Amino acid sequence: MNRHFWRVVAAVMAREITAELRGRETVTALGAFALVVLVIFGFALNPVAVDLEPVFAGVYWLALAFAALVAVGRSFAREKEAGTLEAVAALPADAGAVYAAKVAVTTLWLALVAALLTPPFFVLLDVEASPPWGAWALTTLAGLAGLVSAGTLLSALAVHARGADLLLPLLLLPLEVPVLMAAVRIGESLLAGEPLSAAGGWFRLLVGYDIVFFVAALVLFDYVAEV
Amino acid sequence: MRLLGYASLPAIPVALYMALVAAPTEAFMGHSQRIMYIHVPAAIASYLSFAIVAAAGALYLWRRRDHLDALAHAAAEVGVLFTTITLLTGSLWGRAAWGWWWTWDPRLTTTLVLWLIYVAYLIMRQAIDDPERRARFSAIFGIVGFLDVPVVHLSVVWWRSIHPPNFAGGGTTLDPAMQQALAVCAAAFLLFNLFLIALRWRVERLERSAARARASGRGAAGD
Amino acid sequence: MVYVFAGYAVAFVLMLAYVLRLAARVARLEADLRRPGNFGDGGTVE
Repeated sequence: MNRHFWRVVAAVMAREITAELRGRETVTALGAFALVVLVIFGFALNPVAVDLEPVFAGVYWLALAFAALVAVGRSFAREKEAGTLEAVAALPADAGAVYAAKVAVTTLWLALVAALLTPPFFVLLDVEASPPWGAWALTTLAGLAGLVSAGTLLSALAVHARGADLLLPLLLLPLEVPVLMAAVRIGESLLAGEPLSAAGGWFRLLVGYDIVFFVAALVLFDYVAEV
Repeated sequence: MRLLGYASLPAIPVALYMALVAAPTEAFMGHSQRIMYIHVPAAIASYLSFAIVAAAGALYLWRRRDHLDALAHAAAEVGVLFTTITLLTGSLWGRAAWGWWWTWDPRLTTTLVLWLIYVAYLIMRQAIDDPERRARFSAIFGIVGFLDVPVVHLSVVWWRSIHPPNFAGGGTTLDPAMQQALAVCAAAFLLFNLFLIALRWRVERLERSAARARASGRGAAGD
Repeated sequence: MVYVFAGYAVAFVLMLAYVLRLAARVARLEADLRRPGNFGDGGTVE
């Protein structure tokens, strides 16, 4: 991790963030998408007749997982359209930096979406609970980082395949099983009013997954970007 | 490969004899427990196959030999076959022992997730046209998929557990005769697993050299 | 008992079907590669 690496990370992040500030396309579209998923869940599960508190964490994470799936599916779309996918990694050392920057930016957008949608989530699904919010936010961030770390790598693979839109969820969802399980279990425990330490094992598993997949993808990304 | 074939073919009837005749009948579950002698070995064989997928993928990224990618492909396909067998026999055993076709028990669930990962692996291989890129991307996914195995396993164990206690771990309660039968069956399945991978590998290399010969129009490159 | 039978039947039918299919593919490919002219092996290209 030399200075050059961090310069590339900063440059790619800056480019993505300025593009987003100009159009606000990603956050708006992702937010709207997650909201639609939430409303559909509302219709399917009927919060008027059923108490949704026991399944609330599951619904919350499914909506975020779908949003993450769409977000990582888009993360190389612009390069693909402009034909610059190979050019982003003109220097071999850059590939990992591009990956790290994409993960950071995508996680940031999804975290914003999650923050914006948390109040409507609780209101629309008619769940009155007050989990420890700091722990809730930390779990959300750790879970999103796990989804995005694995997702960004697989998105770079799928973008070169036929039927990338169908292939990405097929590759990603099974790999995400531990993230979803851990995040949902922690969420349930927090909703019950327990502190984060009550689900400490799950939280360590989640952070471990984040680290393992981020590091593995960082190393393997050099092989993706090869021309 | 011949050697593996000759070794595994007689091993299977011996294993069958051990499992069906020599091993004592389980006191509580009765004959249904005999499914274990194919269920557990098939699961072990599939783990071995997926380890070969990851190892061959890593070696491919290092040495860039086409036959290493062919090996990864072969092992993934055979691994999916054995996970399918594990799932189906697990379901039948669950029906016989607990009364349900499917229980979300940790090991069965891990196997299901593995099955999904490697079916996706095979589908991804079909969806990438350029052979070099296909080999490279498959290697990456093979490694990442295998990294996921212990994490998936740990999480489903925490998530729910009604499976009989682990046979491999200490404090086993399995009858010695049963252990012996299980060990023989596992050995037979592993041999047969390696034989199938070798056979599938041979098919893959033959197909590739045929395709290369067709593409170049000059003498077929035999291996 | 019927489940035991079904379990063994499923496992062995699957394995047998797979091994037979592979053996057939090997035999066909080897025959193809040996036939002169088929893959340009000293003869005309298809």
